[in-house]
Amino acid sequence: MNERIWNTKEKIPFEEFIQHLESTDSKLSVLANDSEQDSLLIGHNHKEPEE
Amino acid sequence: MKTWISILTILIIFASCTEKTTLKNQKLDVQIIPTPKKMVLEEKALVLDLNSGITSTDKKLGPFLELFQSELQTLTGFGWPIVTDKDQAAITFQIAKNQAEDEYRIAIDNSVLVNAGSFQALAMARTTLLQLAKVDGEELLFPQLTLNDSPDAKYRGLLIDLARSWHSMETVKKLIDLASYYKTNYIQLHFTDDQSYTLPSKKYPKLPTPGRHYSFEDLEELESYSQLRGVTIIPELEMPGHAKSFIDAYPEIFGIKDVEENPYIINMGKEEVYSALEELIAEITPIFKASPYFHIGGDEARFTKVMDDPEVTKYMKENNLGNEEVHELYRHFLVRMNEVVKKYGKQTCIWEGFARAGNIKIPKDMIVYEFESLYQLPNELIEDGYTLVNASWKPLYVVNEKKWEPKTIYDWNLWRFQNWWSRSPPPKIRFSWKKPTRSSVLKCVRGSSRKKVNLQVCANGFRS
Repeated sequence: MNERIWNTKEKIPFEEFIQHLESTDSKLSVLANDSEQDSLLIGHNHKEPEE
Repeated sequence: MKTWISILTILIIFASCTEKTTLKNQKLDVQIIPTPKKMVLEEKALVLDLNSGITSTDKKLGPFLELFQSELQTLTGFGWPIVTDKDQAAITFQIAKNQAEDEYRIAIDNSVLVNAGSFQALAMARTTLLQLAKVDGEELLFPQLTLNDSPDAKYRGLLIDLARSWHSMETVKKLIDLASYYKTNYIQLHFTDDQSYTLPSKKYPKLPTPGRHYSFEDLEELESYSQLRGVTIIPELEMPGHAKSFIDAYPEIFGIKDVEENPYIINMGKEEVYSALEELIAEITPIFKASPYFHIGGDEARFTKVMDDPEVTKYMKENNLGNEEVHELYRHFLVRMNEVVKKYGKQTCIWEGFARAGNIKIPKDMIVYEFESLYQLPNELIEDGYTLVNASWKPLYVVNEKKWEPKTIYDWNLWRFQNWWSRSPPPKIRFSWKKPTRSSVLKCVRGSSRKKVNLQVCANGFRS
């Protein structure tokens, strides 16, 4: 989410962003010795319960 | 003879310069997050060998160089010496006063030169370099390029709720690593809430929740760990609501008369409480030296039975707060705590929580973290002159099932405030507001939620 705070106007398409993120996250996993962040949000999209 | 010595010296210098780096014809893929503002990528790659080193023109940057050295080794397997001779260095870091405070520049040609406007910007440049580094067989490569970068938002935050979900030092450090790597410059640690009090205290030793708190030494360690990585910790003591852990430990000090019916709120009608809170703030602020801010929570206070407390009644009378409206006491409390925070050299941060209307004026020097767009709408706060941090619940919170996938987050922008719950009360209202300095439009869905559960991880952007 820092992408959209650092660059408040969308700078690259989402598809390109997520490709970059996979690359940078893989390096972060090595640096932090932890890969949990890689999949934390994938597949989650909370929707408000219907009445 | 002298001529031969001179020629030999020149040859040695030339050999040492050419040994440390080589440019070869290979264009590298570059993937950097956040995306840099400007980058010119060339067709070649710089090859560094083990004879070269890392250096800085500033001796104070020694620990920083050691950090970069360690991170580069972890990431690439290549060990690089720290050298004092700039001519021996392939990578040079320096703080350049002619650049903006949060701006950095990386030039990679025959060597790597990093200039940054501040230490924090240098720390950000370091993570860009880590993202640029590529191991190719026995070689460590960097793409030949020039890169200029700076953020649009001065405040890029991550909140970790340690009170609802306590985390080990190791995990907190990993989150600092994550924040630093993606150029977050503030981590807000939500240390206290109903569930636990995770700070230490000498004056009030029963406050720290057994098995779920940090020592003073731990906090010092986190402060230095985060500072070295260009990240500033903002401590948060939540008050007057979300304070059951205070009351459980010292009901005789912090509780209201009907503490069993409302064990969540600090008694705002007792001088003893104000003194105790000041002592607690005084214990913590010297540790987090780097932070210009101190967060006092201030949201979702439950006022049940507060007005039935005789000390509250007496206090309100003595302070000309009337005798009917508990919100006036709440506003008075915020104003008073703001003065305490300022006394200890910090600027007060609070969650959205006070209403627009009220006799007691809430000082404009308090920074409001807008997270629900419920108690006050962001456009109203801005119109009234407050500085906001956008902590929009949707899509920035990661709380149990209330989290959103990367695409939804990517579609968000800094000017949008949205609650996860758009149902009434109050009714769903959409509005737009034109920013004074730009033509983009703020959209906000107004909703309500009383729930704050377990782990909150919230990135937020600065709005002033």
